[in-house]
Amino acid sequence: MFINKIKNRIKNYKKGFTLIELLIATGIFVMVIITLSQVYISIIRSERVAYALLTAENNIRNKLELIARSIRMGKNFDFDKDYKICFDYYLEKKWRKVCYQYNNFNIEQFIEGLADNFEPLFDPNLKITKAHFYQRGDQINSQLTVVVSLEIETEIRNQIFTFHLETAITPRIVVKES
Amino acid sequence: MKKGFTLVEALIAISILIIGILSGFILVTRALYNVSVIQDRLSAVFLAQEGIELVRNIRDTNFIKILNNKGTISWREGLSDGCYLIDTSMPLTLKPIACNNENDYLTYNQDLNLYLYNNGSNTSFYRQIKIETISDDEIRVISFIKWKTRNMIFDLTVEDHLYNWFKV
Repeated sequence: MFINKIKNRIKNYKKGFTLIELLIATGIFVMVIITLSQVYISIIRSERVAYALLTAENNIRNKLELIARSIRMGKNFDFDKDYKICFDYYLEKKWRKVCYQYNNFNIEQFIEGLADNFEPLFDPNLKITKAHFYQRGDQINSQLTVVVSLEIETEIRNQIFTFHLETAITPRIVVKES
Repeated sequence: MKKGFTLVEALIAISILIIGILSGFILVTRALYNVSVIQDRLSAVFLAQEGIELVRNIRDTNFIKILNNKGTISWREGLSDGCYLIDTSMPLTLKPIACNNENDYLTYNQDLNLYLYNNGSNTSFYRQIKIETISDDEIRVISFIKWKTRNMIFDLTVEDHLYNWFKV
């Protein structure tokens, strides 16, 4: 019979693994798996950190470039100490008053007729610890340049990353309108 | 069961295992390394841009002076060919240096939050502005920035052209 044939074949295999062999093999296997999973976990962790930092970097670059572009195309600049700047900017068919100010660990934006209040510009995960809009040049005897400097902190997995950013923007309009 | 593994088989098996684990570790260290590079690169990009904008301010100031008739000055006053350093302190002027001089690093002033020269803590950022004549009414401005992150040197070059469009 077919089943007897198989039974006989199984009986012929006398040797299997001993208990010790099995334990050693399992032990090695477990050790390797644990090591590999540690590596895998740390890869995933650092990937998350890298990705979060990349997102933060994207947001900073995007928003700072937005501020820079509007200053570049603006006119009639008005500074309030070092933390607020207002100017005219052509948007949606007319010159509108646009303001940027440092408040509540963020840079807030105001656009006349489009946003009634100051609205935070940067990602709330970013904490802007210091911000300045410095005026260089007086628009009468010399050209104006706005120096924007930001100190931004972001906390990723209990680690704080700090950005020290500074850029200058010279408006494209040369003469102040009277 | 007389036969075990041969030495070659064992070596191959172990080396495959090591390559697998090692590449994982390398990946981790590379990822963490690049994370720190990102931060400095972002600062560098904006600092390079700043260099160009400050030079533009000097040219525009010349235009304003020409318009206000304060003496007869050239649109390229203070913008002759050469290598320079510039920071945001007033008055905005280019300080000539030798083109191969790469020792004047920017410092960071914690109170003002500004990158200046000889004012604040040391940074690894070095910025050089280079001006070249293209024609009577056009100059090329090159903002070169070099910095060090974890003992690796990176650099970045931004180029802009300024014109005498205000010609009067």
